[in-house]
Amino acid sequence: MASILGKRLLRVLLTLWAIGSVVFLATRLSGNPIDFLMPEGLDGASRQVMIAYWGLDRPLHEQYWRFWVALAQGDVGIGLAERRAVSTIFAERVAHSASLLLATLALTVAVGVPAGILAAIWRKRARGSAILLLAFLGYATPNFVLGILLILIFSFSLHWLPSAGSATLAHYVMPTVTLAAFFIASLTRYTRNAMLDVLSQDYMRTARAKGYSEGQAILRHGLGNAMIPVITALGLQVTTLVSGAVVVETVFAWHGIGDLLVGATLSRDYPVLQFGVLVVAGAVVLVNILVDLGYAAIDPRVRLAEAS
Amino acid sequence: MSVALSLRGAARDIDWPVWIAGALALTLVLLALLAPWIAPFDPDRQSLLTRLRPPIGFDRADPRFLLGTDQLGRDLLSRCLHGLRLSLFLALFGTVTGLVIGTLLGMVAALGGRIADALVMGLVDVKLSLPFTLVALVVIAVAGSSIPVLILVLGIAYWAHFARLVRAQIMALRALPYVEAARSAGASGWRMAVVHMLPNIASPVVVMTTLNFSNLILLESALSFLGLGVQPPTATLGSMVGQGRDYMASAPWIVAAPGLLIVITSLAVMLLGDHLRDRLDVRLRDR
Repeated sequence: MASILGKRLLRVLLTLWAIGSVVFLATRLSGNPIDFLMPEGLDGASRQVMIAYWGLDRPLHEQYWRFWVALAQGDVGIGLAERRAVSTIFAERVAHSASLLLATLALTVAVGVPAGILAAIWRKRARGSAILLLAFLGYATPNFVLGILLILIFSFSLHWLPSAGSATLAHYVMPTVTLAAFFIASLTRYTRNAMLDVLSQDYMRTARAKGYSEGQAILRHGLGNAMIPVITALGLQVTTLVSGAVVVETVFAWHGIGDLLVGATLSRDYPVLQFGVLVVAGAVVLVNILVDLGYAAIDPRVRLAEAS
Repeated sequence: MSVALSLRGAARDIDWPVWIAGALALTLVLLALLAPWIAPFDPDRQSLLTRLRPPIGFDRADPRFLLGTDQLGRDLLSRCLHGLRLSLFLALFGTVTGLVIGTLLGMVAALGGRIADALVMGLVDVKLSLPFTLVALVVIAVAGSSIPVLILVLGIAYWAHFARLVRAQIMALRALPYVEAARSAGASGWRMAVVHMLPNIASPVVVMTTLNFSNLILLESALSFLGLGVQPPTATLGSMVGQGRDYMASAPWIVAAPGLLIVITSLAVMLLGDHLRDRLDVRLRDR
């Protein structure tokens, strides 16, 4: 267990170093960010002051070194657009993004797993096909189209829910549903397939022969075995989930990290973008490790395979 | 067996959703290809006198504009057709870019020795651990958004999937007798890869290409929606939704028309892709 953790951590550090370096180089190679941010017709002297202030006049290797040193000291710079510490900007928003992601995850599991099990049990009936059809629709509808559709119906026509912002619980409903739709759809499909595999196993026949009803057999013996591939599938979706959140936050003007990063890209706010990419990538990589370790803890086969 | 019976049997064998999807996809491709000729107006022509007209059948509709007009009086039908054309074009070239980069790197990893393999696969791991939107944001922030940049961004969205697939397939082929035979006949490494191996791994690669194409339609529309795609006045379906958002309360058709077209397109392509995967991928045949 400890050796797996060590290897994984080393890879995380390498990955983050690579990402940080690429972002650093890319933003420095693309010209001077000052030119995008300052009003046109800025006089030469003020421009020089700004460049010196952000250290953009130093040689590249020195900037690179200072970038990592500052990062290690917890100084992540000042946002060019908001003129505030990047860390403050992120601190204000991180909870909004995290709570949206958690709500989405909860909704996905709460709907996707039962729907998948039902689709597997009803595989030869119209009800099962209806679930699959819905899942297919959820899979093929882009989240921003779904979000806008929901806003049209529930905000502009029915006036039930607020269309933008993240202040109250009612604000959570539409963004969560919008973001979750794709993942519910894909989790339903995974669960159905995993369940179908399990239903034809010998131990299920044995359970039925012992006098369990179909429902008891599925709950006691089927579910646990079907969940291992399902958890794997869910773990692999973390990156997609974060990608989707960036779009959904923009649709609903959600005061989160995704909304911030899209704005930073459009205005070329490099300090914000640079830190944001590192933080989000770091979080995603970390979650992936936790998922991996989770398997090792749950499933002895994984533990043994990793050790050898 | 009578003719009528066998005909009925044949009708049962046909997979109707796939045929509908196929017909739909064909129609969409034709519409996209013929857009410059069948679109009733110039997609960028503005006319303030006919702003925000609803589609035919609603109050205040103008019979010249089948799907209505947008906030600048541009004909929505023409914009949808041209937008569809550009969306399909970008997704197609993005897919090809990813296919080429991924296949090349996959071959390098499989045939280029241990160090090349470790490097490429390390890169693949990094790529797969990053949310795609982040990568797209950085590239677009640095390089700006133009059609070539967009194609590149779409290309790097899935190269890693292709690389992994091609590497695994080639590794599996290397042990087969006919490859051994080609090697002993003196074929060089690259000749063997291109002439003897690539044709034999074509079918899974084709399946992945189709699935990627539908994913890229969605990705491109999302990027354009965020304002990171092609710049106005040129429109793709996604950017039409993104820019029509501000008028949603008073003129919902501006977002509804391109939005529905995106859903129809991705449904058709995904159905075809799924069908192709079921047909070509032996492992999935009994599902």
